[in-house]
Amino acid sequence: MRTCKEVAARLSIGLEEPLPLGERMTLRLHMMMCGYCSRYYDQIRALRDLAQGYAAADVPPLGEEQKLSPQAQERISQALSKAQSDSADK
Amino acid sequence: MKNERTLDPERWVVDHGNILFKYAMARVRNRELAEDLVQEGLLAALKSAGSYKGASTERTWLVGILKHKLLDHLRKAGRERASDTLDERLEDEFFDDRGRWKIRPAKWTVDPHEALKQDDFRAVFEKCLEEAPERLAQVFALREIDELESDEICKILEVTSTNLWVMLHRARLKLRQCLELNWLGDDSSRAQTPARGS
Repeated sequence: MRTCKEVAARLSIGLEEPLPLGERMTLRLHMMMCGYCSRYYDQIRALRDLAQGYAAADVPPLGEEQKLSPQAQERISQALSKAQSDSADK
Repeated sequence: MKNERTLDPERWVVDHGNILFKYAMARVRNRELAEDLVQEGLLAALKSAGSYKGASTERTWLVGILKHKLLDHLRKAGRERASDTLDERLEDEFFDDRGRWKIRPAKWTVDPHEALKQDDFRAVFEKCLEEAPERLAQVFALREIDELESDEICKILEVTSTNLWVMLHRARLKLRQCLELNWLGDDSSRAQTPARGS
């Protein structure tokens, strides 16, 4: 008999690669008897969907602290124009 | 004839700088480092501007280049810090010494697919990623947000697949719980008090 701790870890691995049939059946059986593990499995799969939804969604306006500082903008702009003029010289 | 999609390097910092910076910050959590990566990314983009064919938007193309720079960085950093990835104690928060759930997954009152449409979804999701241990958040972002294959992540971070699985498992434990407490669970779990009996 497996513990919930072991089952949760194996369920997570099951999202990465196919588990052997025997093990899949053991996990199914455990989940039939254990509502928490069954719920956990549903929720980590939902977590994957949420992450993909996050990646696909449009980015909302950024807060000030999430932005490049004016100094960094200045520095990067200068580095870019220097690189551009360097390549134009060649 | 003018292609609809052309590059305009003079506007890169103004038009895309903040988005690129945010992308980098979410993954390295260090302002200076994130700024450096944005600069390296844009310089690399400038060099390979000739290969831009307009197949994707300018922004998507720039994010792609930044991602390469970021992976290079993780590759180098990964070698130095392989040891802080396997902290057993994290799992002890969730399971008792007999392997039973200590923090039990609660029923979610919000359907995750509905939740995706809510305004505060991004903010909560980002907060939860920030609160997770850095290495776990990185691994989760590479696998689930950037959708890299496991093999690829193992190569970049120089970890075995077993280690990667353990890290992903722990990231999921953490993130699942954080989303539940902040957003998807019912109000009683949000307040971290037991539901009142009827």
